[in-house]
Amino acid sequence: MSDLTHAAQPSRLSLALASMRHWLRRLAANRSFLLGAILFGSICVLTLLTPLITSVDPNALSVRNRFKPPSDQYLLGTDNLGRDMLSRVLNGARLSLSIGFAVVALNAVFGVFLGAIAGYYRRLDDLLMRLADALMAFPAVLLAIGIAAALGPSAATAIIALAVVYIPRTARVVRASIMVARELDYVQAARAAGARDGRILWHHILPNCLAPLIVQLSFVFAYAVLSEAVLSFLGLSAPPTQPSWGVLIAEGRTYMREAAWLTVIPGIAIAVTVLGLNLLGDGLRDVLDPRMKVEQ
Amino acid sequence: MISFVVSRLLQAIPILILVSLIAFGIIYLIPGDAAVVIGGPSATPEELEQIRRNLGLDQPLHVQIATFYINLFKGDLGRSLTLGIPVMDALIARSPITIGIAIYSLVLTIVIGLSTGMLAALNHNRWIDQAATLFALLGVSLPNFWLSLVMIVLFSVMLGWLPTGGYIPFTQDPIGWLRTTTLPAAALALLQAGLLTRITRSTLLEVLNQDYIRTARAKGLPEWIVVGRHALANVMMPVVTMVGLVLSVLLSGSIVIESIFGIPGIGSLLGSAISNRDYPMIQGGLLFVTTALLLLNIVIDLLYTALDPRIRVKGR
Amino acid sequence: MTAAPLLSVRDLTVSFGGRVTAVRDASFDVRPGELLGVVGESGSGKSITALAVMGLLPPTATVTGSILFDEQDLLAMPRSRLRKLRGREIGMIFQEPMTSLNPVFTIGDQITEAILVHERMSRKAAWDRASELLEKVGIPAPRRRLQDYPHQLSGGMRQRVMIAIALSSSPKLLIADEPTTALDVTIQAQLLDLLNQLREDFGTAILLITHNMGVMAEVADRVVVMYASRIVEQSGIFDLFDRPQHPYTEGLLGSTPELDADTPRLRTIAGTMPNPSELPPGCLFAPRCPKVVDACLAAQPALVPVAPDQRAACILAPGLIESTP
Repeated sequence: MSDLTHAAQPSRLSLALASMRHWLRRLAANRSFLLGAILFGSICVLTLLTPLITSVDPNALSVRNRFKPPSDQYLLGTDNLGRDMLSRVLNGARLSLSIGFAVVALNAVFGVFLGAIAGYYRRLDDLLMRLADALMAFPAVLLAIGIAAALGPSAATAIIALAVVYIPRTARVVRASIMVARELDYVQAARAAGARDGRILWHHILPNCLAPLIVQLSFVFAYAVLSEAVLSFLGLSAPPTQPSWGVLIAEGRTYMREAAWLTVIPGIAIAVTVLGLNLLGDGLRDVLDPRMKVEQ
Repeated sequence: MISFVVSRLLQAIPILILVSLIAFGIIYLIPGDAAVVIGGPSATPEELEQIRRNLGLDQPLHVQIATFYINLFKGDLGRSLTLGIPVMDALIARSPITIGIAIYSLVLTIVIGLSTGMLAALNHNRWIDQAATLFALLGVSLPNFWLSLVMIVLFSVMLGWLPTGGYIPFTQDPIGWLRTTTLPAAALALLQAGLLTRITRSTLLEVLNQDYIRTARAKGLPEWIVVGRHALANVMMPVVTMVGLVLSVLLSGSIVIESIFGIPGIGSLLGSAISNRDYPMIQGGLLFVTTALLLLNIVIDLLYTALDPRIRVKGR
Repeated sequence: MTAAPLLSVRDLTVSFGGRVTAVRDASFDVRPGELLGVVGESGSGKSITALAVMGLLPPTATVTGSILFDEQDLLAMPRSRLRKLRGREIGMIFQEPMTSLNPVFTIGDQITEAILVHERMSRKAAWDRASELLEKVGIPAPRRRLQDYPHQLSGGMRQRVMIAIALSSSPKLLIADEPTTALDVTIQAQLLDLLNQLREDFGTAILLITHNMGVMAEVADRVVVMYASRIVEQSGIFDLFDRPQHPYTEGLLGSTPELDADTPRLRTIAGTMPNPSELPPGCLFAPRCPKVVDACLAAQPALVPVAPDQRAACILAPGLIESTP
């Protein structure tokens, strides 16, 4: 009998593809998502194509060409040491985006793991959530600054500090949707049928948390890029030899009067990236999970 | 009401214990020998020993924790490594400046956020709405230190309206205070106002569709009373719940903003503590600000309860 | 019954965004002191008609025709004058008593506000008036109740408060949109008694909107039956029940639950109302009509007199057939 019902149903893969096509169509119709995808996508493409756009060393000094305003030769001008800003902004993008992506990846792994444990095993829930509450009681950027100050300045520091700050927030989102999912009828049925916990979590519960997780991660990406800028502005992220956007702004700050482009351009780069990610997140939320509220 | 206050305070205790433990633990994140990191490469073994003794690092861990909590209970957050004075004294001396700017900024945030959000909702789907939505999005997307720098160039360097930095105490010269605090307060507020704009807009749109708004109109009330009284009273509640979050972001922002504008508040105190590796000051500052926010959130909860009769007055 | 009508609606048409027409060519009168019932299924346009009279339709609505109240055209009137008329000359109560009062203000606040916007008097005097009003609508210990918030009152109580607000300036016309639907049966009966009594005491005319024929039988003088945006029958209450002229009315009468008895067997009308954006040709009721003939599909029949004080929009109306030899 079970063979018969199985044969009548379309395969798992074709079902997944069909539903993916359905969501893509709805996302394509969402203005916010489209605009966000265009903004963030173009930043990503520019970052990936950096070697094709400019071969200039971002740290190459040229004392004769100090403070050149944007022109044909120097598209984004040069800084106080005559370094090419186009190359510095593009290379900064790679660092800023890599750090943001690493934070997102850590959030995806640990946020899901901790959230799943808290949501599924009631006994650990209290302890983990108290810990999350305590971590979330600190103002986000302040805690990141404190952790980074202790670890000492490096890109890894920024990644760890921001991951510690945002993982509790992601874990809370995952936990909330798991608590809903574990009460669903078919999950109860699977449990009654004697399926193992790990199998239930992986096959039945986690797929239900995917939509809120994706939305949350897109916002974490936005916060991470923004907060990394603060950390690097304070000199707590990667060293000045591999400047991220925040470092560029900090360096340009001294010359704001005579060379405003040094400060303005990296700021616009941050704004476009974060704006794109926020729009992307808004669009994803509208389409995937309209009732969901993201933890700030 | 009293029992509510007490229970809220009791709930905060475990969080406070954990928060202080986290703040305490930060020093253990320092890779390698903390004393070497603090003292720098040129420190002599005697100096390193001195640093260890000052920070209590020569004691076993459980003694360190016990001493930390006993001192905490006495309001002692340790001694600043660079200023040589108790951390608590430094924080208390600097806090009025930061609190003043935070309140100024909060007022600006609420005024800007509420009015833009209301304007957007009342002109739903028209260009004003779209402009307000863009403003709100920029608010959560622009780096605050960058906005401060751009504002300095614009209003101080180019237009010459306000000083580029510095601070004049309110008690000494209120006008001077306004001149020195307006740019930093506005830089913090403009970004936070975006968040409030979004909340106000979506809440007001929802409230305007409620049956009681139709009732208010059916009574023959003029539209400004319908919106300004009946709708606004219901919009205020979610706004009040946002205040805690807004203040939390304002205070984290103040580290960078105060350093940029040269304002001698808690923010710049922590800013220089970070560059000087003054860990007792960093720990103490974190704990101080976070505790203040936790207590403030309790006050906000109480305020919320006082505002909403559905919670304040039990049904019969 | 020849007094000049208090409210005279002529050729009222309401459409949204130029596509969906919610009310078509509705014409009816409400005479001073009478209770006119408007009955129909949800989506038939009856609530839209009421909101059009109040001028409370959303800005996306297009309204044509005329609505004469006391010989002034409400549709031609500037918004500010219409607003002053609302609440003072025309009061309205709504279907959902649970959500129709503002949760953050006291009952007293919400009643006195309605009084003070239309009349000059001290807050103290308004408070006294509010207390009298609560007493009139049958709320015990009115002084104390004025201090209460809506969530402290039951649904029936809240609807009484809504009536008190609507009556606060002694309006000439009260529009009641499904005032009892959300309430349980005993409370329904009490509220209908209250409406009836208020009508006798104040001489207020009432436009009562309901989907319940049993409620109509209880209180109405005359009834307008609406179906899919059109008025299909208009008649005195006794004629309507004794000799319904439109098959839709017959259907409604068949599906009327008795107010007090619990009759489990309801005869419902088969099928559903057509989607207002894709109406069938001919008579709108034809697809569901048990008596349908070919001629029904040719054109929408006009609302014509079929008996003294009785009009119907059906080519098969018995009155129409009897009067043509």
